[in-house]
Amino acid sequence: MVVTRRNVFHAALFLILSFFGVAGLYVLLEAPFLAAVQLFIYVGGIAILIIFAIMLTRDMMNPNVTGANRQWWLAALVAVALCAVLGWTVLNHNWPATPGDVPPESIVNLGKALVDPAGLALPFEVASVLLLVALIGAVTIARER
Amino acid sequence: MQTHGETWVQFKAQYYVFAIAFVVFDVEAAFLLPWALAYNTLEFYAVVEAIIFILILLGGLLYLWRKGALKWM
Amino acid sequence: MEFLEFVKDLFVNIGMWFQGFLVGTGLPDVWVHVISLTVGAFVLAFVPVFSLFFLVWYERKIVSRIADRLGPNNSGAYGGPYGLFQIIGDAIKMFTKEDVVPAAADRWVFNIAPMLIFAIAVLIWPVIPLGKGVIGADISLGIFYILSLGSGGMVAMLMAGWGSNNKYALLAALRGIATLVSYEIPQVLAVIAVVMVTGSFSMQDIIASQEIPFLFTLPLTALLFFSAALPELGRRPFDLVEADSEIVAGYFIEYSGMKFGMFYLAEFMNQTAMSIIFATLFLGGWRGPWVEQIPALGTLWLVLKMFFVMLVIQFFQYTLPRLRIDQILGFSWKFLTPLALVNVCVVALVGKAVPYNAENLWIRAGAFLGTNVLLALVVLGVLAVAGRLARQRVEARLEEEATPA
Repeated sequence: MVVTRRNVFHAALFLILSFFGVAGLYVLLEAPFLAAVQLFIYVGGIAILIIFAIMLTRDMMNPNVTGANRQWWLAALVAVALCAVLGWTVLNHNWPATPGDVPPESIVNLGKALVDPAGLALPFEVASVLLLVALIGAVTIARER
Repeated sequence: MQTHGETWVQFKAQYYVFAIAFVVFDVEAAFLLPWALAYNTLEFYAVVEAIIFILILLGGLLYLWRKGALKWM
Repeated sequence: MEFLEFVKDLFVNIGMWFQGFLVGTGLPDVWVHVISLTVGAFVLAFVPVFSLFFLVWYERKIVSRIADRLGPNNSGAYGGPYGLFQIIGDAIKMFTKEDVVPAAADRWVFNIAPMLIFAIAVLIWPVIPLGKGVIGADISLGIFYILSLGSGGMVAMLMAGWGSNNKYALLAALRGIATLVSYEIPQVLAVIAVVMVTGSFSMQDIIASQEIPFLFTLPLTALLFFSAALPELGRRPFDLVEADSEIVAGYFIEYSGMKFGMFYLAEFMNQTAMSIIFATLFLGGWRGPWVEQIPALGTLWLVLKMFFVMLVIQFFQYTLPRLRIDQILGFSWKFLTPLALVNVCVVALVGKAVPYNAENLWIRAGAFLGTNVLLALVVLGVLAVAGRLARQRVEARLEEEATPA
């Protein structure tokens, strides 16, 4: 639904709906923390960012895209083919099926692993540097008007 | 920056900067949440690591402030 | 005596009696479960809606007393005793107003927005502990679930503003989102500090770990959370989005009748929920004297605390002037967020310096309190110095401009 709407704002709203859907999938996979983080960051942050970007670049009183892609049928064909290939692979592969019990204290273990020097401590700190870079990028946007 | 119609207020780019800053600090908070949950079982070096994390981002916020990205709205 | 025992743990016993009743009718277990959950869900959804009547009256009385007038009382024809029925009259009026949809508005978005915002306002309630065993669903994600629901509220605000096809509504909605977004961070950081001390997101665990309410051990954190939650609710001094006297109801200008009622209800339920959340996080929830013996008393304590917090919120709303949008955002980004980050660091350090075991509970609490107060004093000192420097700069500039003339 996201890619077929002419009204860009509607497309953004359907994107938010799919974020909600992903959060639901996380809940079904017994990862409620990830679902909440998904809602928190994607819906609360990135969706807002996308909508602001839409408003920045578009006349809101006339939000319909003019639909300049003439070969949409080719894109649809490729998408269907990709889906078929993936589906065939997924269904025909012999997945090693581990029932995978979720340990009850998974978030605490995640927290411990995040700061464990032999675990994810380096990505943790690198992530902070990455976020710093993003902030500096934001400043560049604000200045280059 | 294009304007939107005659009586429309110009959509400030400032909105976008605030949204980006929000996403950055949001992700930072999402990283700090599992750390906070495991806090009682962690050693001291974990606290130091998290403080480094926070200080880097605090530095980023100060940079934003000094560069005037937080003004006018 | 048996009746007294029943009343002592009233809500839990009612629940168990109801389940026993269902099992007694011979239904299979699954149906018992489903029916009791459904009934529980209905009760949970309707209790805040109906208690709103009382709370709106409460707010009106406070507002009027602050403004030195009487407020709803029984002087009207349908006022009822103390003016309690006035609110019912207001609700009926709202139901029966014509439901106007602007011609150029986007029908789907316009209509879904109030439903979404009301749904989110109701979704907060299952996670709030209303008593010792009384909670809708004690999920392990308690407080974080509530925080993520705030993001849904942002989307609803956006939909309402855009769907109205009205430039003022859109402008108000965008500013509202900027406000919400800026105050989400200090709120989450304050919650992180509380979660650090508790070690769990679950609301019941947070209450259970508050032998000394967190208001007294982490006062700065409580203040931070309160300052950050107030704009989330859209209450003065931050109510730019719905400035009643200026922008005429902001992003829900175009709504009338029941849809407006939904926005109004949702805002009020948010305020109630936030009061209860603050009471849970910082005032000890349903803890209080004699709760061990009479668990049903816990609900009473919680309601009293909630009324107290609502009183404080109303005081802020009706005695302080409105802030401008740049003041609002500046306050959040330049003051609250750095303070919240430093607060987390300080609490982390202190928490490890005085490790957690059963004996030195008071020492730990005292250490937290001391460092929080110290941090607050340092911040006040920094502000004082900065203010003095700014004043000197302004005076120097004024002198410069005055001398050539």
